[in-house]
Formats: sequence, C-alpha cells, structure tokens
Amino acid sequence: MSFKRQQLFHCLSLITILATGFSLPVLALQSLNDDELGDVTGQAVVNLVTDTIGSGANETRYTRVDLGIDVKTQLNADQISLGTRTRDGVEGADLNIDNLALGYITDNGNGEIEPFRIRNPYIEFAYQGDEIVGMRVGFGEAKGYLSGDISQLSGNIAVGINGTLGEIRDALRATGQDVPFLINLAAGISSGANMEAEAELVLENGVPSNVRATRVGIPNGESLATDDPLVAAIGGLLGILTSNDCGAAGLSTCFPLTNYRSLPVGNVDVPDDLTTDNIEGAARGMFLAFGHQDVQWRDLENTANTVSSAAGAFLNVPKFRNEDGELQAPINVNFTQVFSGIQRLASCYNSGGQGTVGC
Amino acid sequence: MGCSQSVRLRKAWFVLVALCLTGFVRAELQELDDDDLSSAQGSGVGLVIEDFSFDGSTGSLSVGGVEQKTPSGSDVEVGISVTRLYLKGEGSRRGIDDVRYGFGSIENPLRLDILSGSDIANVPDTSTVLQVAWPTYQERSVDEVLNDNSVDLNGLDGLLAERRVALQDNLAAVAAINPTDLARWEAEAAVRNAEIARLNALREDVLDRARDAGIDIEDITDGCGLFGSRACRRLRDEYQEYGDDLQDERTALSSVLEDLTPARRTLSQTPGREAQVKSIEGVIQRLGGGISGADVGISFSYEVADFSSLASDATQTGTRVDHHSYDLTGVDIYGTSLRLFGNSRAGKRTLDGELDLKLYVKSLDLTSCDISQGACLNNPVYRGNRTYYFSDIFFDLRLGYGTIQPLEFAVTPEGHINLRLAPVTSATAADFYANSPKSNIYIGHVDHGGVRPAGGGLPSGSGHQSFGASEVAGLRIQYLDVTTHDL
Repeated sequence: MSFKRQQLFHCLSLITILATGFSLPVLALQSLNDDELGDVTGQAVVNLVTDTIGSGANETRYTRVDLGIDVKTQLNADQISLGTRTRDGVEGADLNIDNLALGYITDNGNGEIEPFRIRNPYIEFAYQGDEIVGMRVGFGEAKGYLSGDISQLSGNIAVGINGTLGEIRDALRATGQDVPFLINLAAGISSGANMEAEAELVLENGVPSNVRATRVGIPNGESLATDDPLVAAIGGLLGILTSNDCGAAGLSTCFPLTNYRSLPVGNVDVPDDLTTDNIEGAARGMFLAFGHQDVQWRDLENTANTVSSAAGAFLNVPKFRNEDGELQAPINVNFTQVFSGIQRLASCYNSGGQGTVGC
Repeated sequence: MGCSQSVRLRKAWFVLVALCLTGFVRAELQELDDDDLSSAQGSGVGLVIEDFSFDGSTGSLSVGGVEQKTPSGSDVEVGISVTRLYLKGEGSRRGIDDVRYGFGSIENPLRLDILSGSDIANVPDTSTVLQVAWPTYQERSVDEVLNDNSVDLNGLDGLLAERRVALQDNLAAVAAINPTDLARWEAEAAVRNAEIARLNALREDVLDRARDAGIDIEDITDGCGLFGSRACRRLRDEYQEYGDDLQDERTALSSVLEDLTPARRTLSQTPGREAQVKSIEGVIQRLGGGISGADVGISFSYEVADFSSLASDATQTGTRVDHHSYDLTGVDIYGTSLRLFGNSRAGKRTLDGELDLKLYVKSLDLTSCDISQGACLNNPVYRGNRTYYFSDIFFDLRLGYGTIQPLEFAVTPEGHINLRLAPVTSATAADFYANSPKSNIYIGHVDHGGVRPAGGGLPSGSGHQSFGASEVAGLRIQYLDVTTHDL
C-alpha cells in the first residue's frame, strides 16, 4: 500500500471510529421543515449596557454584559474565601463563609430541593479612562436562601430589628440586670410600643465598617426608634436606647454574623407566577465585586442610587421590595431572635439542618 | 508541512492524529520506534498534538450579533474586532515568540475509548460509553516532585502542607469520636425528633378541634381569658401540656446536639479535606511531569455609546472603545475525562454525561488598555496599572454522577441551550455523598499593577497591590438547571 493510500486508510479509519463512537448513544435528530426553520432567528443571549456615574475627574464609565440565562440551583461548599491576605497588618479574608449553601431542602432535610434562582446574571466593568478600576458579577434577579457561617464579610448586609418595648424590658430582665427606671416606666405605659432599628456591619466597638466585618449591630450614636407618641414623649428614653460601643441600656447591640445562618435574598414569601418569565419577588441588587479601589456601582434595585464597594472582594446582599413595594432588609429579627440568631435551613439530606454535614 | 511527514503505524487500532492546518498553523508528526508502538494497547483512539502553534496576528476576525441596549430600549449592533489571537507553547512572551505547543505524548495521549456501561458505576449496563480522557501525569509520585528542587511549584507545596495538616487534624478528630457514643447520640436525636414531631402534631390536633368548636385559636395559644368557656380552658390546658412536653423534648434534643453536632461536623469535613489535598496533589504531579502547557491570548475591542445614566431619558454623551486583552500561560487540561452515554428518561432517549475537569493555568493577565499602541504598548508600568494579574489557578470540577445525577444536554424548542444536573433526592443522597467527588477552585494570587517578570512569576514594582488568594473548597452541586433565553 502506498503512503498516500495508507494515510487515506487511516484517515477513513479515524472518521469511521469517531462516527461510530459518537453515534453509540441511540439518538435521532429531527428534521425541521422550512416554516420551522423560518422561525429560527439569531438568539440575543448577550447584551451590552453602558452607564456613567460622576463627572470630571470623578467620572466612572461602565460596560455591563448582560447574559440571557436562567439558573436554578442548590449547591453546597465547605468554604468560600476571597482575598485571603494580610490587610492593614491583620491576616484574614475579605470574605469568608464556611458551609455555604444556595437553596435548601424542605422539611428540615427530608423533603425536596428548593432551589436558589437567578435570572440574567451579568458581568460589569468600571473604567476610569482606559483603566478598569473594578468589576462585579451580579444577578439581574435573584431569589432564594443563602446559608452559611459568615465569619468575615466585606460588603453590605442590612438587618432590621423590630420588637416591642416590653420585649426590651424582658430581655434586660433575662440578663439579670436592673431595668432602667425610664424603660420600666415606658413599658408600664405601653409595653406593646413598637421599637425598631436598622443594624449594619460594624467592628467590635460599634464603628460601622464594610471591610472584614465580623459583626452586625446598631452603629454608635444610632438609637432605637418608635412610632408610639407616648413612648417618644418620655424625655431621655431614646437617649438610654442609643447604641454606644455595641451596647445600649445594658443590652448588647452587636451580634456575630455567624448567628445569622440563612438569609433570604429577595422576597421568598412571594410565589412564582409561572406565566411570566421574571422571578416574582426577586432582589435586583445582589452582586460580588472586586477592584483595586473603592468603586461606585449602580443599584439595580433603585437605579437612582449607587452602592459603594471597597477595594478587594465585596459582597452586596441587597434589600428587597416587600408586598407594599417598600425596601426591606434581608434579615429581620425581633429582640429575641437578634440574640439567638437565625436557624440554618437544611442543605443536606438527613442532616438535621447542621451546616453541610453529611454532604 | 504536517501531513507530509511519514507516520509508521503497525497497529491499525491505534491511530495517531495531528492537526494538519495550513497557513499560520505549524505542526508535525513524529515517528514512533518499535518500543513505543509495542506499548500501545489495542483499543480506542489516541490524539497527540506536537510542534503546534497558531498565530492570528496577520488575519482579521470580527464577531457580530452582540447588541447594546440603550436606555430608551432600542438595540444597536456592536461590532467586536479581534485584534490578536494565538495559541503557542509556554514561554512565548504573550505570543511574541514562536514557541511550539505539544499536547500529550504517545505513551500518554488524549484518548477516545469505548467502554461498557457495566464497567462504570451508575451507568446503565446496556449503555455504551464514549469516554474522552485527557493525559494524566502520574509518572512521578507527589513526594518525588516535592523533593525535586528544579520544579517550580509556585507555593503550592506550602498550600499542600497546610491542607495535609488540616486533613490529619480532621482524621485525628474523627478517630477520637467513640462510635458507641456517636450511635447513641444519633439514636437519641432520632427519638427526640420523632417525639417533637408527634407533640407538634398533637398540638395541631388541639387547634383543629378548637376551630371545629368555633373557638378563637388565639384563645388557645394565649389564654381563654376570665370568661373563657370550659371547652376553651380544657383545650387550652391540653395545648399547654403538650407544649410543656415539647419544651422538655427540645431541651433534651439541644443537649444531645451539643455532642452530636460537633461530631457530625468533624465527620463531614473529611471528604472535602481529602478532595482538597487530592486536587493540589494532582496539580503538583502535573507540574512535576515536565510538561509545558499552552500560552493562549486574545485581544478584542468594541465601540459603545456612553449615556449619562440608566434612566430612559438619559442622553448620549459620546462614544468610547473598550479594550480587553487576556493572556494566559501554562494552560493545561490534565487527568480530565468526559463520558457520554445513552440513557432514557420519561420514555425518551437522552444523551447524558459526566465531566471530571482538571484545569491548571499558570497565569492570566487581563489588560484594559490598547496593547497595540502608545503607552500601553511601550510602557510596562502604564500597562501594569491597567492590568489585573491572576496566578496559579486550578479548577478541579466534577459535573454529573452517572444516572444518579447525569449531566444532561438539551436544546429547547425555541433553540436555546439547556444544561442540567438532575436533583439529588433523599433516595439517592447516600450514594451521591459517599461517591461523587467534591470540586475545588483555587486562585493562588490576585494582583493589580506592577509588572510581571518576562520569565513568569508574580508581578511587583510601581503601583503593585496584592489581593491574596481566593478559593471555593468542597463544592458539590445537588441541582442545576441552566437555560439561555433572549434578552
């Protein structure tokens, strides 16, 4: 056999073997008729969107790459750590979550998977001149539960604390302390008076910080607020309930992030409407950013606003809109839950909801 | 070139293929001696690429079909111009030097094998499996590579040592758990959980009876008040009694969980830590295999319109050109396998698969200025201040596990792509947890600014900032459904 014939033989052998191999799974392709083919158009799965924030020397321009993708998932990871290095003389990570889970399993790990849903994820680049100063991966829509033991977090996460004056009095009694006179008096007048505060990421001394925070709490100088006119009229009460150095009136006002083990992203109480493409109740502002400097990003939940990310890795867990269209914090706790935290939802079968135990 | 080389093949079973592209692609086949051939096995197809390089710098390539959505909602076509594209051997200095790339060897090629489903766990016995297996580099043990000072491990030896210690600590903790105690805690927790479920059901039953009797539920849960009926008080007492028992059970369960939870956590950490050690060992063996990876690069640019905001009445403020250059060095897929097999679901024949992907990239540089001209071309510091550097990247990713969780490929009637990992269920969970490997993703160094040395290594110098390592460890996807759609 000449070389050319031999070469041809081997090429044919290869083609035959490949063709045979790929056809082994028994599949049948269906032909399309001309009408069906005529309906097929180029699929716009990728779109670009541009934006500008600031002006002059502070101007940042953005190019966002939107991806036409729907994702439903339930996943577990032992650990996610981003930006692990010595920062300001301290070892650690910008973001460290143990036992991370997206989605959960109903019936405390004995039921079915309830997935985390994402629609239209995107990648966005922030430019100053021809320099990329930051990038973020975000979700046009996201809804579901994010679980994990968050030991360090650079980012934003809002916590709404709502309860009654009576609960504050009971919480103080439970610590064995004397209840301040003004709180006793006010609780005697209106124990059901609503008291609320918005907590955020803080350092152990109550100073707000969105870099490597380990706690969430009422920032220094912020007070519990009330809509009860009688309680509000008691002079000096709100002063007692003003947070300072992670405490107010003998109560702790800062709590470890690890207490909050399952966070809703979006309004998980709103059922999906299967007749629409969108995810009903979804949050639109969730993103993970990375940059070498602080960057302003457009808040896609409310495009009139921006969200500032710090240099390094930065996770934004956004507020979402409730049934009344008002923005609501992803973590909402009363004065009992704020101490005990939020129980983790199960993300492994037969695990009793304990982290990623068993899987 | 290429196909004009003589090839000796004495066994028709084994076919050696080289890509024979013309123009800017260079490749050639090498002869085999008798020893090499005698070690070839009589099944499957092997693929080896030797002496290959691709350089698209003299050509032109543009990508269409991408649109910019303006604030008013209209779509404007964006032309993407690819200005640089190359695939060369490692050490090409961003594709400048014509270093040839080789992939696999005669002893260790990329293989296409036909396997029987009966030989693979959780694949239908009657299925035939097409397996694509990438080369492995296990000729040298991990310790042998670790002791070879000539191998540049880029700090992975330290990472391996750290993870081995973590695994050993975990194994020691596992050994310290008394199996008898563990079994007792598990049994007691199960009893307590069952009792809690029973008491909850009984309390619900009380509430149902109250509803049937026309009694306000809040009277049962909060108290019937001074003038509550006898029926209300009786149901209230019953509800409270169950509640007291429930509290006792919860207290007892909490007490058991104080012992059981740390034990469970310790036990659960072992598979993830083993997977981490195995992932790093795989990379080290690959680095010690004396195999160079590929250098891959692409530069592209596109012009977009700038708008003042996202508001629908935003005004266009001008246009700009975005530049992206991605330069990767030492890219190598190793120890990877893709299995495709026929299956059936809901009366339909399907093509299922499982992917075990191991990818190592020595470095990835993302530059945002136009590297073909001006300061970006001529001033390394200027370019470095517009570059994000990623170094020592590896993916050890597992998608799909036989028929327990097949990786399913489909196209929707609208022509969109659907990729799916079937949900693990309570019935399949034990097998999945015991046998499906966990995935790991690791980036050793992320930096910005400075200059990366020409011969490789970490960047340094003016403007340099380090952002450390990033990692996703012990990842397991229990369910995934990804579908594309029109925007």
